[in-house]
Amino acid sequence: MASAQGDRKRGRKKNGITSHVLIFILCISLMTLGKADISAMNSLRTIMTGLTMPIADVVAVPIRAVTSMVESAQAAAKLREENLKLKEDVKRLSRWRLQAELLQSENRQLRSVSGVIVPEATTPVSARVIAINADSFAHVVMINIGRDKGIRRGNAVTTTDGLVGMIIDVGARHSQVLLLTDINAMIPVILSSSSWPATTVGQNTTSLKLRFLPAEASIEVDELIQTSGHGGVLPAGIPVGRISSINNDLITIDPIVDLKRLSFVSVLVTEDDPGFSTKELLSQAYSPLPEDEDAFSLQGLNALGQREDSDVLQDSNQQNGN
Amino acid sequence: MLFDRKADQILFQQVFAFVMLLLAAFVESGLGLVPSFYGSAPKISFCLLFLTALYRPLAVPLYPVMLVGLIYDTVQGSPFGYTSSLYLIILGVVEWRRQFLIIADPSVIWSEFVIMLSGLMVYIFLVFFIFHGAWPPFAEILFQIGFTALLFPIFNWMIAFGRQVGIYLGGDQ
Repeated sequence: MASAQGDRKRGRKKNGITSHVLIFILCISLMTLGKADISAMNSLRTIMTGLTMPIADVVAVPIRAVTSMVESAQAAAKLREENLKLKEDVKRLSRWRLQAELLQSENRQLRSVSGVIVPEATTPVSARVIAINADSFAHVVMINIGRDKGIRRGNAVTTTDGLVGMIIDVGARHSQVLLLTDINAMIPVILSSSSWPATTVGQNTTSLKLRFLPAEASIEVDELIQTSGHGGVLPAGIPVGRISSINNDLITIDPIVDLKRLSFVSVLVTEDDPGFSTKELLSQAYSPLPEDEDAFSLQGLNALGQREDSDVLQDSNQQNGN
Repeated sequence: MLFDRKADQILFQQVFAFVMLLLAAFVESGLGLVPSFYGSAPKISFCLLFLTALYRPLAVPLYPVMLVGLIYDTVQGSPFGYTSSLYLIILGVVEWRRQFLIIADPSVIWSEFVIMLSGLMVYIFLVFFIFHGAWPPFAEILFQIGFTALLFPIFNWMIAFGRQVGIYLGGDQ
């Protein structure tokens, strides 16, 4: 009797271990499928995010209130000190403003003569941040607007300071924003002073790395980095960050937006949004030349650049002569 | 007794544990809004799951725990199944060590929890490396794991206190 009970207990334990291992394998399989970017998985994720979004929103309210209260108390303590500093800043800024107005005027004149293409008009749509990354695995933020406000994948997300990231997933009333600090975020940028192109790469920390900068480019600490608009996904001219350190090949950038204190953001919605589908981008970047029968083709040319099929050339010349 | 039948009691515990774990996961997610915890909020769900699995093993079946992990992943944008796999490791470790831990001192339970967290940290590093081809930010993860380890005794004390109150009111061990 005791032996039978012992056997049953051992059997239950064995079954428990088997199901535990199977579910663990299921989790690993889900992670692998998610990495494979299968559309069914993405849709499932979007639906689940839509369902959980209201709960996350409700839970965030008291946390945000407590954070805000603590920050207010800290701010009050610093108020006097900041007031003196601000008075100094106002004097300095008024001088800068005058200089900026002069530069703006000069810039407008230069644009009119150089034919710079102004990026397509975008409409900023305000959104509230519901959840910020609590893990270092992914730097992703959830916001409370989605398809209902015309948001699409690839839309740039900004604050008044500069770039926050881009939309990677859109639900009916929510969207997920890939922050520029995420390890998967690579943003084409230019140096503000010299316009050298480069790419910022996230590191899942609070700073970015600058890569693919041409060797001959000269850079300085505190230099402003802005989006270049290359690739057609993000509009050009949005401030990204400032160079914080240069150690040989390792150039570090501090984002210009304080990502730790994101409350509201603006999504730049474009009317004719290319999205960031690889196929669409490739078709834009490498669009074939229009077919034209009269066009001069490289096919059939010899080393001197003459057509090898001389009869065709002769016929053509005769027709022209006639 | 609130429940006459053992099965009802277990079902109530399971529902209660599920709701609490889900709430812990959402609070954890919400803590990301606090600037100091940006990208490294303490894993309070780990503490809660460890202690529940230790003292009330029947209250945390595998599938609901996995579901909470999946929900957390949707909110956080982590790979689907990542948090669930972490939760399952915790359940496995507690299941393996329960005979020893159930009679151990709180300090021993805490040290076992810290050892388990260290193992989880290695797992996180490996998964991150496999997914992104780069090592994760060490300082952030160390801060997150360290803060979680510091919070654990508070949770342990709270649950021990709750159990004492329960026993006083006529509940079982």
